[in-house]
Order: sequence, then structure tokens, then C-alpha cells
Amino acid sequence: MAGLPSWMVEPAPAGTVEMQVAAKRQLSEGVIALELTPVGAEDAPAWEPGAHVDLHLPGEMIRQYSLCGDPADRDSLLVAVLREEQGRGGSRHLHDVTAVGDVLPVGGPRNNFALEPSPRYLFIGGGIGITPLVPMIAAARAAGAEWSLLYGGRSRASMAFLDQLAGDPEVTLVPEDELGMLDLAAALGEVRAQTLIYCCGPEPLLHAVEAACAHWGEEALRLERFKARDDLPSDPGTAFEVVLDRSGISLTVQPGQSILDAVAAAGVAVPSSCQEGTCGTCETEVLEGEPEHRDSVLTPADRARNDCMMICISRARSERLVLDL
Amino acid sequence: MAENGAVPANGLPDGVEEELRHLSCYTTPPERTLELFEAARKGGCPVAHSEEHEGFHLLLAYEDVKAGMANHELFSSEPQVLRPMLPRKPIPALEMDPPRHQHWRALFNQAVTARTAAMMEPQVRADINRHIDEFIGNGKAELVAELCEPVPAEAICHLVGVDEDLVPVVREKAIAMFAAMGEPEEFGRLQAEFGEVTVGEIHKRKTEPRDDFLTYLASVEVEGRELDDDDYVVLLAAFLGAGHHSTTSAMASLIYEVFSDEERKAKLIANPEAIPDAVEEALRLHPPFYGFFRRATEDTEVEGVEIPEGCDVYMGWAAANRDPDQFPAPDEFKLDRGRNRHLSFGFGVHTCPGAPLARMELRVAIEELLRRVPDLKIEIDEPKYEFGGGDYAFLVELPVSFAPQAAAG
Repeated sequence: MAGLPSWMVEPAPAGTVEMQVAAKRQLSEGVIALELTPVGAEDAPAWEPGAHVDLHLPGEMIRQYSLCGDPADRDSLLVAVLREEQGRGGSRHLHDVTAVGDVLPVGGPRNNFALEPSPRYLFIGGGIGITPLVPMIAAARAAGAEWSLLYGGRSRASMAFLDQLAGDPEVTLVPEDELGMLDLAAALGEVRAQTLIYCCGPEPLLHAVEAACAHWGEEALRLERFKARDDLPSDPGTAFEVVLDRSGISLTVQPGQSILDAVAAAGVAVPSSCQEGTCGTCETEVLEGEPEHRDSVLTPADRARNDCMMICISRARSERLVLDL
Repeated sequence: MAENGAVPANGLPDGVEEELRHLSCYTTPPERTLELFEAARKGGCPVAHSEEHEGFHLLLAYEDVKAGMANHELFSSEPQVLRPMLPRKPIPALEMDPPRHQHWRALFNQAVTARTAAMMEPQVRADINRHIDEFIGNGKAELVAELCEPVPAEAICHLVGVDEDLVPVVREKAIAMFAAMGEPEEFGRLQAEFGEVTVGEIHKRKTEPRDDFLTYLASVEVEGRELDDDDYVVLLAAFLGAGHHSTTSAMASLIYEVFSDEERKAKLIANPEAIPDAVEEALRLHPPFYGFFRRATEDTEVEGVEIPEGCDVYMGWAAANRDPDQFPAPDEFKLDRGRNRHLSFGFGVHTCPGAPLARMELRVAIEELLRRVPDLKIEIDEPKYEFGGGDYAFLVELPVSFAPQAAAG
């Protein structure tokens, strides 16, 4: 399929390449895999186990996903995405809107969780935190290292990559609804020499693992945290305060969260339609503060007046905005 | 007003009620339409009723029109937004409700962005100067035909990738087709003629792809399927219909408003950064479309008037744009109006996707006329508007004079 004419296409943000969604499939309950292929003739970017990419989504959303395919495959990149109902919208967009054929700017890959050479590894994955561990296990296996995996999830049906992992004697699967929580005391109680622990998962798991292997020494544990990055090239915005003048409500809009969502969460309904700053339905009067306009509705003169904004997409330059809501 | 036509207790002057009852763009000229809207609103009748087009309610108050446009669930754009209804396919996106709407809307959103408008500006400026060159030696011109009509058509053709030499024929076919909006048979015949030329171009792109939007359309899938020739006709008609005549009308109104007032003109020459304000004010006072129709999807009520499910409701943008509750001194052209939330581009999910392009064309036209022909004089006392097909209002002609100059700007 031919793409848009080149002059219509926004140049990809610096440090990104455009990749096309070549396949989208269900990995497990709530988890999809997206296969990304280069738009041009070049190879997919090179990466090492533990690396992640930034997916640039509409509305300035940038989300990080660990690569979970095979680094030797230079035709495509593979990411697994958990649908986070309570998230900021990136995973919902990828699940519900992104379709095969779509082109996304992709930043990276970058690696903050590199697999260091070691004769022995203990991998601990919680939920979608399994993703960076999958290529690590393949690499450990290929290197002839000893390894084992402790993999916990809500239920068997929710756990991705079971087809690759189940049945391997090195793998201990712990679906919470059948077997409860991971037994970290048993796995980490005894310090093993020349063993690196790689752990990825939700924050409580990381805390528990940190506590359970405190006696291993500082160098043994490598963690990857899921959190909003604060060093993004075009950022999801910083947090700021919004005061709803008529409602007498004061609230904080988080990075990546829209004012519209924050206001709705506070129980104030504002009509909205497109949620991407193109239709003008959510236009709201600004009484104090300086908006950072990101919409495509307001004219430059409107913007300069700073007396109104589209709260579905625009943010704040000042630390505080007072809105007529 | 009551559905049965009984005269309600309101302050409508004699005869206004009767005139409103027969109001449509085919029965009442634009100027009188605006007078009737004002009389109705003043007379405490912000929701009027006409028996034309099998009966419809008219929303005339700014807040009602805006709320109505925002509520696409209650006021549907299906099956059609123009009256009379014609036996034709829906205009893509414009005559579709969500969720179907966004599949087609995406095509327009992709084509017109702040970026594409900015990218096209040099070419549009060159087109405008070429047309100025054609008449600047004559000392007089008729600007509707010599500037306002060709420039937006050329812009849309550049946007989608129609070759320069085909532009005149595409323009001509589009004009003929839209002029027949009120005549079902004629419209069908002329739409087919328009389609022959434009869809032919898409077929050429299938075998000889280029780096243009027509090539993109030639292979694009919408709603999970490839497009056929019928789709292409309505899609291209929508691009032309939305982007050509509407901008022609707005450009003529803007030129009239700027050059018919010496003080205003001088202000804009001294402060070119105020030109966008002039653009918005001209759009507010002279919306190229006076309004579109919606259909109530359930029983509802506006300003105490019951609107049963299935009733047609006319969203009166032209009326809303002169609502004194929203725009103080609504009939005055004010450069310092500041916040100017007119509804000439519509509102809600169907808000005109081409607005950035139209605004750019309008601004550049005035910039170039002020730069090259600052002595331009309007040679009519009162602008004469007519309704074309649909509720499209346009200036019939805009004769101007100026001291002849050598071409080449």
C-alpha cells in the first residue's frame, strides 16, 4: 500500500525511525504482541537482550516496551504490550487503535538492563515483566550458561510466552490463582557464587526481591523498573496544578495524563470528542496561568491570548492553571 | 413553535412567522434569511420552524447550536446534512456518525494538517500572485472569477496531486456539479462527469504511482476494504466541495470587508499581524455555509420546543454567529473582537478538517492584495449574496478598480 505523499508526513522525531506494524496477535489474556518492520529497505535496528524501544503514539504519548524477539532477526522487532486499563492511555491505544499497516516512529533501542556475562543466572519475572527476560534466557542458553527462571503471574491464562517457557525444567511457573505468590525466600535464601539475578516486574515484586537478596551483595541484582521516563526527547509533559475555579477543586495533572482526564477523574464533566486537539469541543477558558498549546484548532492569535485551551491535549507552561470549570 | 403550526405566544412581527414557515435556502435569499433569524431571536423564538423540506426546526441561539453540534449522538449527521435529500451516497465523514465517521475522517485529517498548510503556503502565494499579475495591468477586475474562485481550487488540486493542466477542467466540473445540488437528476449526471475526470486520475496512479495523495487514495483501505469508483467520486467531490467553493465565498467576503473600509485597510497595512483577526471576523459575519442539517435520534427538547425523534434540525451557524449574547454588536466587523468562536467551520467531531488550509489561503490573499494593490477599490455599494446548492452563500461578483501597474510581483 502506498503511503501518504512524503511532503505531508511529519518528519519522524529526532532519534527515531519509522516502523510499520507488520503483525498484531494475542499472546495471552490482556497481552498483545506487535511485530514492527522497517518502512524502508534497511535492517531493523540492532539490539541486545534487555533493550527497550520508545513507541511514539498520537497525542505526544511515548511509551517504552522491552524487546522480546530474537536479536538475530534483523527483519523485525517484537514487543509485548499489556493492556493497562488504569494506565495513561498508551497501552489502550496500542490494543484498540493501532492496526497492522500503521507506521509508528520508534526511538532507540536503548539498553538500561544489559545482560552481563556470567556462568549462572537467576531470572525472576512478574507479569508483563517477563518480556526482557525472554531474549535473555535465549542468550544465556546460547552461551551455555546455567540459568533458571521464576515466573509469576495473575493466572496461567494471563501469562505471556508460556508456549516458549512451559515444560522447560529450568522454569518454575507460579500462577498466583493456583500457587500463590513467588516463594522468594526459597529461591534467594542461599547465596550462590557467580550468579547474577535479573528481575523485572511490578514495583512490589522488585521491592520484595531487593529485600530477599540483600545478603547477596550489591553486584548480584539487576533490576528493570517500569516507570515513566523523565529523559524523553519530546516529553509527555511535567506535572502541574490545575484549579477549577467554579467547582472549587484543585488537582494535579500527572505527566502523560491529560487535563481532560484529570478533570473527569475529579468528577467534572467537560464535553469532548476527538481527544486529539482537532475538533475544539473541549475548549475551556483559562483564567490564570499560561497554557502550552498542543492543539490544531486555535489560531496563532488565539494562542497568544492564552485565554482558552483544548484540555484534551494541551498542557501548562506555568506551574499552575486556573480554568473556568 | 408548535409542530402543528399554531401561532405561539411570542413577539414575532407580522409576517415574520409566515416567512419563517417557508424559509429555506431555495425560497429566501441570504440577506433576508439573516433578518428573519434576527427577528425570530429578538421575538423570543430561538428555535424556529419551517415547513420546507418536509419540515424542520431551526436552532438560532449560539449556545443551542454549539451544544447541538457537540452532541452527535442526539443529533445525527445521517443520512444527509444538506436538503433536499438526494439519491446519493453519503459524503464521506461529513454524513457519517461515529464510530464509522473516524475511519473516513482520518483521510481528511491526514491530508490537511498545520504542517500541510504551512508547506503549501509558498505555492498558494505564487498562485495568488500569478492571478494578480493577470489583472493588475487592467486597472480593474472581477475578483470572484479572477481570484477567489481559482485559488482555492488550485490549492485543493495541489493538495491531492491533480496536474496543473487538469485543474481548469476539474474546477469546471466541480462548479457544475455543486450548482445542481437542488436537482437530483442533474446532480447525478454532473457528478458522473466530475467522476470521469477525477477518478480517471486515481486509476492512472494505480499503474503509475507518484508521491502524491491521489496515489495514497489509490491503494488506501477504509473500514477494512479497498475503495471502489463510487467511493472515489464522493471522496474527491468532498475534497473539492469542502475546500473549493467555501473558500471562494470566504475570500470574496474577506476582500470586500477589508477594502470597503479605508480605516480598516490602513490598520491592516500598518499591522499585518491583525490579518488573522480580519479573517475570523469575515468568516463570522459571512459563513460560506449558513448551516447544516441534523436528525434527532430520540425525542428531545430545546428551549422548551419539543423535537420528536426523526425530526430534522437545522444548525444555524449564520444565526449563531450574530447572536448578541455571544458577540456584542454582532453585525459590526470588529478587528479587536478578541475571542471569536464563530461556528463557520462547524463544531464537534465534524469540525471542518480543512480549516488550517482555508485560513492560510485567506490570510495570504489579503497579504498579497494589501502589498501589491493597496489602492484597490470595491466598485459595488452593497455586497450581493445568493444561495448556491445547499446552504452555500456566496458573493455573486466583486468588481474592483485600481491604478494599473506592470505585472510581475
